[in-house]
Amino acid sequence: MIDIQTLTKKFGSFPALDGISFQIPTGSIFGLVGSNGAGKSTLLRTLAGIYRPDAGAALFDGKAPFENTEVKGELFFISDYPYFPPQSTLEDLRQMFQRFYPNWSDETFDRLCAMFPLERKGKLKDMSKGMQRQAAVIAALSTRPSYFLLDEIFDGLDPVVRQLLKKLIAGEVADRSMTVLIASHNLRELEDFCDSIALLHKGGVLLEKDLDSLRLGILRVQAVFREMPEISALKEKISIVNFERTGSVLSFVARGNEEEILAELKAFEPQFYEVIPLSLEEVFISEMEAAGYDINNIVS
Amino acid sequence: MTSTTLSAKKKNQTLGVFQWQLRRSMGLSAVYASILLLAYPVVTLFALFMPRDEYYLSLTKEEQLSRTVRQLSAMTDGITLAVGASLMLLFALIFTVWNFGYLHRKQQIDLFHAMPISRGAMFWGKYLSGCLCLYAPVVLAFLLQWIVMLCFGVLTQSLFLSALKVLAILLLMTCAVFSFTVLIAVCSGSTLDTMASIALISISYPVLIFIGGSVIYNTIPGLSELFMPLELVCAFSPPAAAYLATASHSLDGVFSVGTGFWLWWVTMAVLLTLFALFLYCRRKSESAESTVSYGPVKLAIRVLSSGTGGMLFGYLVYLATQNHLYYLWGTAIASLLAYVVTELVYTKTLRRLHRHLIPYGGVLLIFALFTAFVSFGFFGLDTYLPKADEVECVDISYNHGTAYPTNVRAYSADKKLSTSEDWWDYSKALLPAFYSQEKVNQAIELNKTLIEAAREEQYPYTMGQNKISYDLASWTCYLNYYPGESGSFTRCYCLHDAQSNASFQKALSILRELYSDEEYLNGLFPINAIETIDAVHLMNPEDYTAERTKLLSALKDEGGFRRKLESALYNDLKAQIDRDIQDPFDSEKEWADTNTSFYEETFYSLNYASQVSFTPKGGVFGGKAAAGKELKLASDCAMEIRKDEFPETFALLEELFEK
Repeated sequence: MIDIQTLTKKFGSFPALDGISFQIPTGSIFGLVGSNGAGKSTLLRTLAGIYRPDAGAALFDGKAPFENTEVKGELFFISDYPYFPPQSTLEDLRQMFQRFYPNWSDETFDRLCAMFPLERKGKLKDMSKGMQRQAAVIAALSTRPSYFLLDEIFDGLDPVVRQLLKKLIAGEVADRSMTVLIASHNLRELEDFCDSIALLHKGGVLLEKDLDSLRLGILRVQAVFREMPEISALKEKISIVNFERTGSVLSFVARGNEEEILAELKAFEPQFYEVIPLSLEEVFISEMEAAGYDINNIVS
Repeated sequence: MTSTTLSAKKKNQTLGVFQWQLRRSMGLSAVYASILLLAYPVVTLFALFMPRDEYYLSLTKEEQLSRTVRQLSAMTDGITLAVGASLMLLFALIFTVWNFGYLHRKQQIDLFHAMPISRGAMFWGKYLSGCLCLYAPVVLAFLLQWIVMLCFGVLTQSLFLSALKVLAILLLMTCAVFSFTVLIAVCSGSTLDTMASIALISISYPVLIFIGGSVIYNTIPGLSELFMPLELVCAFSPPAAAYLATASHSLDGVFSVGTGFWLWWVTMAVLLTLFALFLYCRRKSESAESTVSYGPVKLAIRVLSSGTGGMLFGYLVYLATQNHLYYLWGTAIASLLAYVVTELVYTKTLRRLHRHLIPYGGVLLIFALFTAFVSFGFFGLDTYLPKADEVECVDISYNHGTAYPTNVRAYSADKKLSTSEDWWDYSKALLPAFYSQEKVNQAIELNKTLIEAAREEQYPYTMGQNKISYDLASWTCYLNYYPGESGSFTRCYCLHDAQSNASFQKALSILRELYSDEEYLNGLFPINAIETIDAVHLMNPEDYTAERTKLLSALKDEGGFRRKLESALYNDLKAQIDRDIQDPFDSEKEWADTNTSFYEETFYSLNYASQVSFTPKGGVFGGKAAAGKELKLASDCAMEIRKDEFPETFALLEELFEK
């Protein structure tokens, strides 16, 4: 388990992480969203033991990663722009990492090399951005990490490789209970992949929930009325987060149990109604608006 | 058990980093080795294959070997200074950037600092691999050079030991320079800042010592030579030390590589490495690509370089204007400009200059403190004198106005008269000196009075106050204290406008008393070396063909004549010195008179012969008592005896030629 306790990281006087706290259970995939400068990369670097926290702690099964080779041997961090030594190839990466990572697996390396369309002896610097990320993933997964930290990993990957990567990571999570923390500014990338998600803004956590409970507690309903009821009357019965009225069609997002909401709606005698699944982005927007934030200013 | 496991893990990590880094550095090391191989063994090969000249072929086998060994030794020293040291500095810098440049790039730091390698292991792995890559080419080049020499049968023990010393110096300084550049890289936020900081420190520090020394020398009365010990210049500048150490063969007598040098630089190399490690382990990863890693280090470099730039310009302004005030203004303005330049170098903008100006106040404060310290004597440097019981003897030379030095210098220019024992060393002269405790005390009293006189002229001191001048209106007095076996301590006072100065008048009366002392007069060269006079020439400027010579050996009563000559010289010199001290600043008239009559008068010349050995009665030679030693002059020299300067001696010689 990754336990983040009032973690603070400052650059000069600027707090990039301002006392954030949450936990990531072992064997889960945790999404980290937020706009540019929200603190996602800083959090990942602090968790990877690159940055030393100024206050609070980030613990991996109770152990801090900074200057702790034991913890670092169990985790792997792929930054938003992965670096490879000049002139190095996938083979060079294998030689470098197998020397330092205790769980390095040649078998996994060979398997993954066969899976991704990459030349093992090709110069990494000559490869495209997407191919470089694939190389980084191959090297990373070959270290068989218990904790996998990824920053904007899907950038530059084509849809096929993206799905392949998601499948691979999901497989590792299922097989070895690997814990994954993935940062992205794109909510759509994470909605079909993560178990839990946290929204970072200006160094703080605005929201942190597991996706199922997020989706279960909120829904969009579309209803057609012969005579449009008073919205205030509806709001007295149903916890409406927001609504939109077009002629005789009322569309609203409401919080609560689906059966209870529909039972209350029937009392207003709609001619037709249906429940429409919410996208993660919509759930977030609703949640954030409910919390008093203008989501457009938070998530790009 | 846990500790043993941890230690083994760290060793494995260090070894891993070392091997990985070494593999990546092989190419660079090969380039370094190639250049060194061309510079050492290949050049040696050419030198040994070179056709020999006739002179060489005319020598015996032993002489040929000795000549070749000398040439090869000089060649190795020269190559090391011109190529070895420069390449070492260049490649130390390259390997620093190659091995530790990742600290300055965020992407690279993300990779390396996320890996399960402790900072200590990472540092040692990269540092040791850098050392090996720098050492291996140098050792290989020297080994191959020795093999070449061995094949030609010229590798004598002395040549091997001399080259081994050069190699040891190069290896030690490689370690020190590499540790220094790594330390600066750790303290810097970017590679450009690293380069700038290394350049600023390497240039600023020696220049600052030189300018500071020059300011002290020009200001504090009594200092006789530039206050700039090379040991201090290279003590805190590894690049300067590397050059000076490799040039030590050609700096004989000025700078030498002794035990102190070895101990100092071994210690410094260790300390620099440990300090670099300490800062490396505490360095924040987020410093990469920022303007700095450790603020105080950048601040210190900026203060050092701005202060140096300011003082350099201020000193140049002083040299041009000879004005103390202009020196102060020049320093203040130029240091501000230098500070602005360092702001541009480190922050690439002047937008935050107003916020960063506070440390400039530190530059001004340090300069003000330095100026104040120097003006008030720099911690007693102006008043420091050896204790009487630590002084074996003192020689006092009163450089202007006396006919004796003018006369002798007319023949031997500025170099002092040397003896054959040390004929190559012109600093060794036979000088009059005081040995008695009473006179030593009196000499110290004279020195104290001269200090008072200087202070009465201007105190606090200003730049230019100690300018040793050949201006005839000035008055110069040298006091050399000889504390037994080890060297000498010299004070020199040049007073420009001290005639009405009470302390100066007191000093003159002490000097008169000292100069009228028998011990001093007998120690004057014309009397002390009187045994070497072998002939007297009568010189007629109007007709040189009429020149006549009297050999003393041809005289019936040679001993009696020498005694008379000694007595006459004694009385004439005493009278001359008395006259000069009476009127110390009125020398232009005398000088002019001497010169106008120079080509007109008939005069005599005493020839002091170099073939004749003599035993001085007193004086000091090479810092040691001369009395009782058997000496020879390095070359013949003559002393003019003119009627107005040496009347009694002139009369005696006139009598000699009339006979």
